[in-house]
Amino acid sequence: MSKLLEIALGIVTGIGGFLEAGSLATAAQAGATFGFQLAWAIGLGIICIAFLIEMAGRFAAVSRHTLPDAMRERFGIRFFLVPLVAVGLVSFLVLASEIGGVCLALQFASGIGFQWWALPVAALVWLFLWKGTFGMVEKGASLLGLVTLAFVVGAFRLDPPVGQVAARLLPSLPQQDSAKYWFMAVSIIGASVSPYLFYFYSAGAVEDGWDVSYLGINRLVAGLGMTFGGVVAIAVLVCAAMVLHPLGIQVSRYEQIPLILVTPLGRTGFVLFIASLAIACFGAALEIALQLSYLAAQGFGWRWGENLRPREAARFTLVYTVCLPLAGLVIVTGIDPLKLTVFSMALTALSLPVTVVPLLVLMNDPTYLGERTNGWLSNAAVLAVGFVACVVALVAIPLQLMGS
Amino acid sequence: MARLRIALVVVLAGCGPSAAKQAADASEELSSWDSTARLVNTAQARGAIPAGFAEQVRRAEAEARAAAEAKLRKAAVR
Repeated sequence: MSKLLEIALGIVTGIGGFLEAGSLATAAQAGATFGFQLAWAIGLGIICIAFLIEMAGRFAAVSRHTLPDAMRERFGIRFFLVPLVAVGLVSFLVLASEIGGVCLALQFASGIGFQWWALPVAALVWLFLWKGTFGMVEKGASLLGLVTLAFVVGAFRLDPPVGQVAARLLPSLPQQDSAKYWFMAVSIIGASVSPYLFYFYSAGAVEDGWDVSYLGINRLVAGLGMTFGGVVAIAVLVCAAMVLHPLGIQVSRYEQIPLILVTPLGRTGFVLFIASLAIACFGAALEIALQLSYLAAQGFGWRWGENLRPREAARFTLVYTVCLPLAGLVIVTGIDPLKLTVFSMALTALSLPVTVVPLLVLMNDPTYLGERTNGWLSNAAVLAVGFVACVVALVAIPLQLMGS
Repeated sequence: MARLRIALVVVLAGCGPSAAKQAADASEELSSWDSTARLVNTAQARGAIPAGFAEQVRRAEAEARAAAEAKLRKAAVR
Protein backbone atom coordinates (compact mmCIF):
# COMPACT_ATOMS: atom_id res chain seq x y z
CA MET A 1 0.00 0.00 0.00
CA SER A 2 2.78 2.40 0.94
CA LYS A 3 4.52 1.66 -2.39
CA LEU A 4 1.30 2.37 -4.26
CA LEU A 5 1.07 5.64 -2.39
CA GLU A 6 4.66 6.44 -3.31
CA ILE A 7 3.93 5.75 -6.98
CA ALA A 8 0.85 7.96 -6.89
CA LEU A 9 2.72 10.71 -5.07
CA GLY A 10 5.66 10.41 -7.47
CA ILE A 11 3.40 10.74 -10.51
CA VAL A 12 1.48 13.62 -8.97
CA THR A 13 4.73 15.46 -8.15
CA GLY A 14 5.92 14.74 -11.71
CA ILE A 15 2.82 16.50 -13.02
CA GLY A 16 2.90 19.35 -10.53
CA GLY A 17 6.64 19.90 -10.89
CA PHE A 18 6.92 19.74 -14.67
CA LEU A 19 5.97 23.27 -15.61
CA GLU A 20 8.39 26.08 -14.80
CA ALA A 21 9.47 29.38 -16.36
CA GLY A 22 11.26 27.69 -19.27
CA SER A 23 8.61 25.20 -20.34
CA LEU A 24 5.85 27.79 -19.91
CA ALA A 25 7.59 30.56 -21.89
CA THR A 26 8.89 28.34 -24.69
CA ALA A 27 5.57 26.50 -25.15
CA ALA A 28 3.63 29.79 -25.18
CA GLN A 29 6.01 31.39 -27.70
CA ALA A 30 5.97 28.32 -29.92
CA GLY A 31 2.17 28.03 -29.87
CA ALA A 32 1.70 31.73 -30.63
CA THR A 33 4.19 31.79 -33.51
CA PHE A 34 3.83 28.37 -35.10
CA GLY A 35 0.44 27.08 -33.89
CA PHE A 36 0.56 23.36 -33.08
CA GLN A 37 3.58 22.77 -35.33
CA LEU A 38 6.16 22.50 -32.55
CA ALA A 39 4.20 20.04 -30.37
CA TRP A 40 6.70 17.38 -31.50
CA ALA A 41 9.54 19.21 -29.71
CA ILE A 42 7.71 18.90 -26.40
CA GLY A 43 7.02 15.22 -27.15
CA LEU A 44 10.69 14.60 -27.95
CA GLY A 45 11.77 16.42 -24.79
CA ILE A 46 9.38 14.33 -22.70
CA ILE A 47 10.70 11.04 -24.11
CA CYS A 48 14.28 12.13 -23.48
CA ILE A 49 13.71 13.39 -19.92
CA ALA A 50 11.68 10.27 -19.03
CA PHE A 51 14.65 8.10 -20.06
CA LEU A 52 17.12 10.35 -18.18
CA ILE A 53 15.02 10.45 -15.00
CA GLU A 54 14.63 6.67 -15.08
CA MET A 55 18.41 6.30 -15.51
CA ALA A 56 19.22 8.73 -12.71
CA GLY A 57 16.85 6.94 -10.32
CA ARG A 58 18.10 3.48 -11.34
CA PHE A 59 21.70 4.57 -10.89
CA ALA A 60 21.00 5.92 -7.39
CA ALA A 61 18.94 2.89 -6.34
CA VAL A 62 21.43 0.27 -7.58
CA SER A 63 24.80 1.92 -6.93
CA ARG A 64 23.77 4.11 -3.95
CA HIS A 65 25.95 6.79 -5.54
CA THR A 66 24.85 10.25 -6.61
CA LEU A 67 25.74 11.27 -10.17
CA PRO A 68 28.39 13.94 -9.37
CA ASP A 69 30.05 11.69 -6.82
CA ALA A 70 30.25 8.81 -9.31
CA MET A 71 31.44 11.10 -12.12
CA ARG A 72 34.33 12.38 -10.04
CA GLU A 73 35.21 8.82 -8.98
CA ARG A 74 34.93 7.36 -12.50
CA PHE A 75 36.53 10.15 -14.58
CA GLY A 76 38.73 11.98 -12.08
CA ILE A 77 38.43 15.49 -10.73
CA ARG A 78 39.82 17.19 -13.86
CA PHE A 79 37.22 15.74 -16.17
CA PHE A 80 34.49 16.20 -13.58
CA LEU A 81 35.12 19.96 -13.67
CA VAL A 82 33.74 20.08 -17.25
CA PRO A 83 30.18 18.89 -16.45
CA LEU A 84 30.40 20.71 -13.11
CA VAL A 85 31.01 24.06 -14.83
CA ALA A 86 28.52 23.39 -17.67
CA VAL A 87 25.69 22.20 -15.42
CA GLY A 88 26.54 24.83 -12.81
CA LEU A 89 26.43 27.74 -15.28
CA VAL A 90 23.29 26.61 -17.07
CA SER A 91 21.54 25.87 -13.75
CA PHE A 92 22.52 29.29 -12.42
CA LEU A 93 20.94 31.02 -15.45
CA VAL A 94 17.83 28.87 -15.13
CA LEU A 95 17.69 29.75 -11.41
CA ALA A 96 17.74 33.45 -12.31
CA SER A 97 14.93 32.80 -14.84
CA GLU A 98 12.81 31.06 -12.23
CA ILE A 99 13.31 33.90 -9.75
CA GLY A 100 12.34 36.23 -12.62
CA GLY A 101 9.17 34.17 -13.17
CA VAL A 102 8.08 34.53 -9.53
CA CYS A 103 8.87 38.27 -9.68
CA LEU A 104 6.75 38.69 -12.80
CA ALA A 105 3.82 36.91 -11.17
CA LEU A 106 4.14 39.35 -8.26
CA GLN A 107 4.37 42.26 -10.69
CA PHE A 108 1.19 41.15 -12.50
CA ALA A 109 -0.63 40.90 -9.16
CA SER A 110 0.68 44.08 -7.53
CA GLY A 111 1.78 46.43 -10.31
CA ILE A 112 5.20 46.83 -8.64
CA GLY A 113 8.05 46.25 -11.13
CA PHE A 114 9.59 42.76 -11.16
CA GLN A 115 13.11 44.02 -10.32
CA TRP A 116 11.92 45.13 -6.87
CA TRP A 117 10.82 41.61 -6.00
CA ALA A 118 14.05 39.84 -7.00
CA LEU A 119 15.98 40.01 -3.73
CA PRO A 120 12.95 39.39 -1.46
CA VAL A 121 12.06 36.33 -3.58
CA ALA A 122 15.67 35.07 -3.45
CA ALA A 123 15.60 35.56 0.34
CA LEU A 124 12.31 33.65 0.61
CA VAL A 125 13.69 30.73 -1.41
CA TRP A 126 16.77 30.74 0.84
CA LEU A 127 14.59 30.75 3.97
CA PHE A 128 12.60 27.74 2.72
CA LEU A 129 15.83 25.84 2.04
CA TRP A 130 17.38 26.86 5.35
CA LYS A 131 14.34 25.86 7.44
CA GLY A 132 12.77 23.18 5.23
CA THR A 133 13.35 19.48 4.67
CA PHE A 134 13.89 17.58 1.43
CA GLY A 135 10.33 16.23 1.51
CA MET A 136 8.94 19.73 1.81
CA VAL A 137 10.95 20.97 -1.17
CA GLU A 138 10.27 17.93 -3.34
CA LYS A 139 6.66 17.07 -2.56
CA GLY A 140 5.27 20.32 -1.14
CA ALA A 141 6.13 22.58 -4.05
CA SER A 142 5.13 19.97 -6.62
CA LEU A 143 1.75 19.30 -4.98
CA LEU A 144 1.00 23.02 -4.99
CA GLY A 145 2.18 23.01 -8.60
CA LEU A 146 -0.92 21.00 -9.51
CA VAL A 147 -2.51 24.42 -10.00
CA THR A 148 -0.80 24.36 -13.41
CA LEU A 149 -3.47 21.84 -14.47
CA ALA A 150 -5.48 25.02 -15.12
CA PHE A 151 -3.77 25.07 -18.55
CA VAL A 152 -5.24 21.64 -19.32
CA VAL A 153 -8.69 22.88 -18.33
CA GLY A 154 -8.14 26.02 -20.43
CA ALA A 155 -7.06 23.95 -23.43
CA PHE A 156 -10.20 21.78 -23.19
CA ARG A 157 -12.42 24.85 -22.90
CA LEU A 158 -10.92 26.13 -26.17
CA ASP A 159 -12.00 22.91 -27.90
CA PRO A 160 -8.85 22.36 -29.99
CA PRO A 161 -8.78 20.08 -33.06
CA VAL A 162 -7.33 17.04 -31.28
CA GLY A 163 -6.45 15.26 -34.54
CA GLN A 164 -4.36 18.20 -35.74
CA VAL A 165 -2.55 18.47 -32.40
CA ALA A 166 -1.82 14.73 -32.44
CA ALA A 167 -0.54 14.93 -36.03
CA ARG A 168 1.92 17.66 -34.97
CA LEU A 169 3.54 15.28 -32.48
CA LEU A 170 5.50 14.04 -35.49
CA PRO A 171 8.39 16.36 -36.47
CA SER A 172 7.84 18.58 -39.49
CA LEU A 173 9.88 21.16 -41.37
CA PRO A 174 9.10 24.87 -40.97
CA GLN A 175 7.06 26.64 -43.64
CA GLN A 176 8.56 30.03 -42.78
CA ASP A 177 11.21 31.64 -40.56
CA SER A 178 13.44 28.55 -40.21
CA ALA A 179 15.95 30.19 -37.82
CA LYS A 180 13.20 31.09 -35.34
CA TYR A 181 11.55 27.69 -35.73
CA TRP A 182 14.70 25.73 -34.92
CA PHE A 183 15.70 28.12 -32.14
CA MET A 184 12.30 27.57 -30.52
CA ALA A 185 12.53 23.81 -31.05
CA VAL A 186 15.88 23.62 -29.20
CA SER A 187 14.63 25.97 -26.48
CA ILE A 188 11.65 23.67 -25.89
CA ILE A 189 13.89 20.61 -25.77
CA GLY A 190 16.29 22.46 -23.43
CA ALA A 191 13.37 23.39 -21.16
CA SER A 192 12.21 19.77 -20.98
CA VAL A 193 15.65 18.18 -20.59
CA SER A 194 17.14 20.57 -18.00
CA PRO A 195 20.03 18.72 -16.31
CA TYR A 196 18.90 19.99 -12.92
CA LEU A 197 15.88 17.67 -13.20
CA PHE A 198 17.82 14.42 -13.31
CA TYR A 199 20.64 15.54 -11.01
CA PHE A 200 18.02 16.63 -8.45
CA TYR A 201 16.09 13.37 -8.89
CA SER A 202 19.22 11.29 -8.36
CA ALA A 203 20.19 13.23 -5.23
CA GLY A 204 16.63 12.86 -3.95
CA ALA A 205 16.70 9.09 -4.50
CA VAL A 206 19.89 8.81 -2.41
CA GLU A 207 18.50 11.24 0.19
CA ASP A 208 15.34 9.05 0.44
CA GLY A 209 17.48 5.88 0.77
CA TRP A 210 16.31 4.09 -2.39
CA ASP A 211 17.48 0.54 -3.07
CA VAL A 212 16.76 -2.00 -5.84
CA SER A 213 13.23 -2.54 -4.52
CA TYR A 214 12.45 0.95 -5.82
CA LEU A 215 13.29 0.18 -9.45
CA GLY A 216 9.66 -0.50 -10.40
CA ILE A 217 8.46 2.67 -8.68
CA ASN A 218 11.25 4.59 -10.39
CA ARG A 219 10.24 3.35 -13.83
CA LEU A 220 6.56 4.16 -13.31
CA VAL A 221 7.25 7.57 -11.80
CA ALA A 222 9.69 8.50 -14.57
CA GLY A 223 7.43 7.27 -17.39
CA LEU A 224 4.01 8.35 -16.18
CA GLY A 225 5.03 11.41 -14.15
CA MET A 226 6.96 12.96 -17.04
CA THR A 227 4.34 12.01 -19.65
CA PHE A 228 1.46 13.52 -17.69
CA GLY A 229 3.67 16.50 -16.78
CA GLY A 230 4.41 16.98 -20.46
CA VAL A 231 0.67 17.11 -21.14
CA VAL A 232 0.59 20.35 -19.11
CA ALA A 233 3.30 21.85 -21.35
CA ILE A 234 1.39 20.73 -24.46
CA ALA A 235 -1.74 22.34 -22.97
CA VAL A 236 0.16 25.66 -22.72
CA LEU A 237 1.14 25.34 -26.39
CA VAL A 238 -2.45 24.50 -27.35
CA CYS A 239 -3.84 27.51 -25.40
CA ALA A 240 -1.34 29.84 -27.11
CA ALA A 241 -2.01 28.26 -30.52
CA MET A 242 -5.79 28.67 -30.09
CA VAL A 243 -5.81 32.17 -28.57
CA LEU A 244 -2.77 34.06 -29.90
CA HIS A 245 -1.81 32.35 -33.17
CA PRO A 246 -5.06 33.12 -35.09
CA LEU A 247 -4.71 36.82 -34.14
CA GLY A 248 -1.10 36.96 -35.32
CA ILE A 249 0.16 37.72 -31.80
CA GLN A 250 3.78 36.73 -31.22
CA VAL A 251 4.92 36.51 -27.61
CA SER A 252 7.75 39.00 -27.21
CA ARG A 253 6.91 39.99 -23.63
CA TYR A 254 5.76 37.97 -20.62
CA GLU A 255 2.80 40.36 -20.24
CA GLN A 256 1.16 38.73 -23.29
CA ILE A 257 1.19 35.19 -21.89
CA PRO A 258 -1.61 35.48 -19.24
CA LEU A 259 -4.04 36.18 -22.10
CA ILE A 260 -3.89 32.51 -23.09
CA LEU A 261 -5.75 31.56 -19.88
CA VAL A 262 -7.83 34.74 -19.62
CA THR A 263 -9.59 34.00 -22.92
CA PRO A 264 -10.94 30.55 -21.97
CA LEU A 265 -11.34 31.04 -18.20
CA GLY A 266 -11.95 34.77 -17.70
CA ARG A 267 -10.93 36.42 -14.43
CA THR A 268 -10.39 32.98 -12.82
CA GLY A 269 -7.92 32.26 -15.60
CA PHE A 270 -5.97 35.41 -14.77
CA VAL A 271 -5.74 34.44 -11.09
CA LEU A 272 -4.83 30.85 -11.95
CA PHE A 273 -2.14 32.05 -14.36
CA ILE A 274 -0.49 34.18 -11.67
CA ALA A 275 -0.73 31.34 -9.14
CA SER A 276 0.69 28.85 -11.67
CA LEU A 277 3.60 31.10 -12.64
CA ALA A 278 4.46 31.96 -9.03
CA ILE A 279 4.19 28.45 -7.61
CA ALA A 280 5.80 26.63 -10.55
CA CYS A 281 8.77 29.02 -10.67
CA PHE A 282 9.16 29.12 -6.88
CA GLY A 283 9.18 25.31 -6.73
CA ALA A 284 11.72 25.14 -9.56
CA ALA A 285 13.89 27.80 -7.87
CA LEU A 286 13.94 25.70 -4.68
CA GLU A 287 14.96 22.59 -6.62
CA ILE A 288 17.63 24.33 -8.73
CA ALA A 289 19.24 26.13 -5.80
CA LEU A 290 19.34 22.84 -3.93
CA GLN A 291 20.70 21.03 -6.98
CA LEU A 292 23.57 23.54 -7.26
CA SER A 293 24.46 22.70 -3.67
CA TYR A 294 24.17 18.96 -4.34
CA LEU A 295 26.35 19.27 -7.42
CA ALA A 296 29.20 21.04 -5.61
CA ALA A 297 28.97 19.07 -2.37
CA GLN A 298 28.64 15.64 -3.96
CA GLY A 299 31.30 16.40 -6.54
CA PHE A 300 33.87 17.60 -4.03
CA GLY A 301 32.96 15.05 -1.38
CA TRP A 302 31.58 17.48 1.20
CA ARG A 303 28.93 16.55 3.72
CA TRP A 304 25.52 17.15 2.18
CA GLY A 305 21.79 16.75 2.78
CA GLU A 306 18.75 19.00 2.93
CA ASN A 307 17.56 17.03 5.95
CA LEU A 308 20.70 17.96 7.90
CA ARG A 309 20.84 21.16 9.91
CA PRO A 310 22.69 23.95 8.06
CA ARG A 311 25.61 23.87 10.48
CA GLU A 312 26.00 20.11 9.96
CA ALA A 313 26.53 20.65 6.20
CA ALA A 314 28.00 24.14 6.19
CA ARG A 315 29.66 24.15 2.74
CA PHE A 316 26.58 22.56 1.16
CA THR A 317 24.45 25.33 2.69
CA LEU A 318 26.97 27.99 1.67
CA VAL A 319 26.53 27.16 -2.04
CA TYR A 320 22.81 28.02 -2.18
CA THR A 321 23.37 30.90 0.23
CA VAL A 322 25.77 32.45 -2.31
CA CYS A 323 23.95 31.45 -5.52
CA LEU A 324 20.51 32.76 -4.57
CA PRO A 325 21.35 36.44 -4.02
CA LEU A 326 23.59 36.38 -7.11
CA ALA A 327 20.74 34.99 -9.22
CA GLY A 328 18.45 37.61 -7.69
CA LEU A 329 20.93 40.32 -8.71
CA VAL A 330 20.72 39.17 -12.35
CA ILE A 331 16.99 40.04 -12.25
CA VAL A 332 17.62 43.31 -10.36
CA THR A 333 19.58 44.53 -13.41
CA GLY A 334 16.24 44.65 -15.27
CA ILE A 335 17.22 42.05 -17.87
CA ASP A 336 14.18 40.92 -19.90
CA PRO A 337 13.06 37.74 -18.04
CA LEU A 338 11.54 36.23 -21.19
CA LYS A 339 14.75 36.60 -23.21
CA LEU A 340 16.83 35.32 -20.29
CA THR A 341 14.55 32.29 -19.94
CA VAL A 342 14.48 31.37 -23.62
CA PHE A 343 18.25 31.78 -24.07
CA SER A 344 18.94 29.78 -20.90
CA MET A 345 16.85 26.98 -22.37
CA ALA A 346 18.71 27.10 -25.69
CA LEU A 347 22.05 27.02 -23.81
CA THR A 348 20.77 24.04 -21.87
CA ALA A 349 20.20 22.23 -25.16
CA LEU A 350 23.68 23.26 -26.30
CA SER A 351 25.26 21.81 -23.17
CA LEU A 352 23.40 18.48 -23.38
CA PRO A 353 26.31 16.34 -24.68
CA VAL A 354 28.51 17.51 -21.80
CA THR A 355 25.87 16.65 -19.24
CA VAL A 356 24.40 13.56 -20.83
CA VAL A 357 27.42 11.65 -22.21
CA PRO A 358 29.15 11.16 -18.82
CA LEU A 359 25.82 9.93 -17.45
CA LEU A 360 25.52 7.43 -20.30
CA VAL A 361 29.07 6.16 -19.67
CA LEU A 362 28.17 5.59 -16.01
CA MET A 363 24.88 3.94 -16.97
CA ASN A 364 26.78 1.40 -19.09
CA ASP A 365 29.38 0.62 -16.42
CA PRO A 366 28.72 -2.75 -14.71
CA THR A 367 30.98 -1.69 -11.81
CA TYR A 368 28.17 0.57 -10.68
CA LEU A 369 25.09 -1.12 -12.09
CA GLY A 370 25.94 -4.83 -12.30
CA GLU A 371 23.36 -6.42 -14.58
CA ARG A 372 21.19 -3.33 -14.60
CA THR A 373 23.15 -1.33 -17.14
CA ASN A 374 21.37 0.51 -19.97
CA GLY A 375 19.75 -1.21 -22.92
CA TRP A 376 20.42 -0.05 -26.48
CA LEU A 377 17.09 1.76 -26.72
CA SER A 378 17.70 4.17 -23.84
CA ASN A 379 21.30 4.79 -24.99
CA ALA A 380 20.21 5.49 -28.55
CA ALA A 381 17.21 7.69 -27.61
CA VAL A 382 19.14 9.93 -25.23
CA LEU A 383 22.26 10.17 -27.41
CA ALA A 384 20.25 11.01 -30.52
CA VAL A 385 18.13 13.72 -28.88
CA GLY A 386 21.14 15.18 -27.02
CA PHE A 387 23.35 15.47 -30.10
CA VAL A 388 20.64 16.64 -32.49
CA ALA A 389 19.53 19.33 -29.99
CA CYS A 390 23.14 20.42 -29.51
CA VAL A 391 23.91 20.66 -33.24
CA VAL A 392 20.67 22.54 -33.97
CA ALA A 393 21.37 24.88 -31.02
CA LEU A 394 24.88 25.48 -32.33
CA VAL A 395 23.40 26.74 -35.61
CA ALA A 396 20.18 28.35 -34.34
CA ILE A 397 21.56 30.39 -31.41
CA PRO A 398 23.96 32.60 -33.47
CA LEU A 399 21.33 33.04 -36.20
CA GLN A 400 18.72 34.08 -33.65
CA LEU A 401 21.18 36.41 -31.91
CA MET A 402 22.00 38.12 -35.20
CA GLY A 403 18.32 38.22 -36.18
CA SER A 404 17.39 40.01 -32.96
CA MET B 1 45.14 37.26 -36.26
CA ALA B 2 44.06 40.41 -38.13
CA ARG B 3 43.07 38.27 -41.14
CA LEU B 4 41.02 36.04 -38.86
CA ARG B 5 39.23 39.07 -37.43
CA ILE B 6 38.43 40.40 -40.92
CA ALA B 7 37.14 36.99 -42.00
CA LEU B 8 34.92 36.80 -38.92
CA VAL B 9 33.43 40.25 -39.58
CA VAL B 10 32.74 39.31 -43.21
CA VAL B 11 31.07 36.02 -42.20
CA LEU B 12 28.97 37.69 -39.49
CA ALA B 13 27.94 40.50 -41.83
CA GLY B 14 26.92 37.94 -44.42
CA CYS B 15 24.83 36.02 -41.89
CA GLY B 16 23.16 39.11 -40.41
CA PRO B 17 19.55 39.87 -41.25
CA SER B 18 18.92 41.88 -44.40
CA ALA B 19 17.23 45.29 -44.16
CA ALA B 20 14.11 43.80 -45.75
CA LYS B 21 13.98 40.98 -43.21
CA GLN B 22 14.50 43.43 -40.35
CA ALA B 23 11.69 45.64 -41.65
CA ALA B 24 9.38 42.66 -42.09
CA ASP B 25 10.10 41.48 -38.52
CA ALA B 26 9.43 44.97 -37.14
CA SER B 27 6.14 45.26 -39.05
CA GLU B 28 5.08 41.85 -37.77
CA GLU B 29 5.92 42.96 -34.23
CA LEU B 30 3.81 46.11 -34.61
CA SER B 31 0.87 44.19 -36.01
CA SER B 32 1.23 41.62 -33.18
CA TRP B 33 0.93 44.45 -30.65
CA ASP B 34 -2.13 45.87 -32.46
CA SER B 35 -3.85 42.53 -31.94
CA THR B 36 -2.60 42.30 -28.35
CA ALA B 37 -4.10 45.73 -27.61
CA ARG B 38 -7.47 44.65 -29.05
CA LEU B 39 -7.44 41.41 -27.02
CA VAL B 40 -6.54 43.29 -23.81
CA ASN B 41 -9.28 45.87 -24.39
CA THR B 42 -11.85 43.11 -24.90
CA ALA B 43 -10.65 41.23 -21.80
CA GLN B 44 -10.76 44.41 -19.72
CA ALA B 45 -14.24 45.31 -21.00
CA ARG B 46 -15.62 41.95 -19.85
CA GLY B 47 -13.85 42.27 -16.49
CA ALA B 48 -11.50 39.34 -17.12
CA ILE B 49 -8.35 41.29 -16.21
CA PRO B 50 -7.84 44.02 -13.63
CA ALA B 51 -7.17 47.58 -14.82
CA GLY B 52 -3.69 47.49 -13.26
CA PHE B 53 -2.64 44.53 -15.39
CA ALA B 54 -4.14 46.07 -18.54
CA GLU B 55 -2.01 49.14 -17.81
CA GLN B 56 1.11 46.94 -17.50
CA VAL B 57 0.41 45.37 -20.91
CA ARG B 58 -0.03 48.85 -22.42
CA ARG B 59 3.32 49.94 -20.98
CA ALA B 60 4.98 46.82 -22.42
CA GLU B 61 3.26 47.58 -25.73
CA ALA B 62 4.61 51.15 -25.77
CA GLU B 63 8.18 49.91 -25.12
CA ALA B 64 7.92 47.17 -27.74
CA ARG B 65 6.44 49.57 -30.30
CA ALA B 66 9.26 52.06 -29.73
CA ALA B 67 11.84 49.29 -30.28
CA ALA B 68 10.08 48.02 -33.43
CA GLU B 69 9.78 51.53 -34.87
CA ALA B 70 13.49 52.12 -34.22
CA LYS B 71 14.21 48.87 -36.10
CA LEU B 72 12.06 50.06 -39.00
CA ARG B 73 13.94 53.37 -39.17
CA LYS B 74 17.28 51.54 -39.03
CA ALA B 75 16.19 49.21 -41.83
CA ALA B 76 15.09 52.18 -43.95
CA VAL B 77 18.52 53.82 -43.54
CA ARG B 78 20.27 50.60 -44.61
